[in-house]
Amino acid sequence: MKNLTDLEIIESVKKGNQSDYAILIDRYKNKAFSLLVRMLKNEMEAEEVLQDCFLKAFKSLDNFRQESKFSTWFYRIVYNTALTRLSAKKRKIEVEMSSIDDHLEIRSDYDFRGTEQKDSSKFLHKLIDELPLKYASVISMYYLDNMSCEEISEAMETSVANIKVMLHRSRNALRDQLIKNNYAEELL
Amino acid sequence: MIELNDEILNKYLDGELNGTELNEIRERLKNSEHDRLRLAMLQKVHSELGRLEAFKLPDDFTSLVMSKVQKEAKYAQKDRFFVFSVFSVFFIIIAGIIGYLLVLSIHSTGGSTQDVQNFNNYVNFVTVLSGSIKELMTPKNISVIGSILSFGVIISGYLFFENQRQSRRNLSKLR
Repeated sequence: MKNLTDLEIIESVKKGNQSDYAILIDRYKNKAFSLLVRMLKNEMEAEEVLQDCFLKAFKSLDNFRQESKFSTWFYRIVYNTALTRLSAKKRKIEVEMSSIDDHLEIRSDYDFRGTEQKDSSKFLHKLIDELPLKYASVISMYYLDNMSCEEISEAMETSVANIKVMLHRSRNALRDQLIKNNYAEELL
Repeated sequence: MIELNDEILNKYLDGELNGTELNEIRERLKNSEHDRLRLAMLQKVHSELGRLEAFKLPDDFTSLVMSKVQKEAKYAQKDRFFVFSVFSVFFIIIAGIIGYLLVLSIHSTGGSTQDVQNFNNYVNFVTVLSGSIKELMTPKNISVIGSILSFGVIISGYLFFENQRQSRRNLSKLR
């Protein structure tokens, strides 16, 4: 059963085998959860939103036209639900401020050097958390979910060029912070 | 000549440059330690990001969502049954009215042919079923029946939305 494609599972669910939906949940839950944690910055809230997303997707399965992959369609639900949640919490201003036309700058106060051994990986995670919402979303979908720029653009409902710009700026910003914090030697 | 800016370095990393551009970039990189460092750091960031691990959910997450999915499916089925019931009732009423009107029109034309007589026999059960309301189905009472049907539609609509609201309330209690 686990080897079924997403489309085969969806067909099975539509035929009344609702329990097969659990396979889709298992397949996408952790990656979608990671995206939500990056966006909402709160694990409990992310879990709650993810439950809603899976329910929404289940209720809308009849509307899934198979023009795109299930994963892309599902991530669009996840991304939009998170935006709605943020909007409801008056955090939308952060989204607006993170327009790609703005200069991307990470201001990290995080410093391991005084207390722990240098760990560029941990430092990188911390930096990703400080990326603006859209940039963190792109990084999560591109690297964690192995989505192409085209798929991400579909999920985020923006152009492929914008996605590439955000991806490049994120990498540049992360690299600059690593250099600024003297992680260059450790990495090279 | 290509300027070796961050955008080009990123394109280099993503394999988006053509052969000529690649050769030019490689030549430039040979001659600039600073640019080599910038690219190497970018490559490191790229590979570190590639090693990102997903956040883990509690083990019971799937079963929790599935219990909600099953409830949702149950409520949806209940809603569909309710809508089907309402439409069935109205369909039966409308079919009865049409049958009654047909009988009336056949009687009024005299029913002189054998075909009409057969048809009369065929729709006889409709006449029996509608016998009790036959007296009411006069032109005078049509408007009253219409009003009753409209009232029925309104009541059904109310019950339908009330049913949906109850379903949503039950679901929200689960969350």
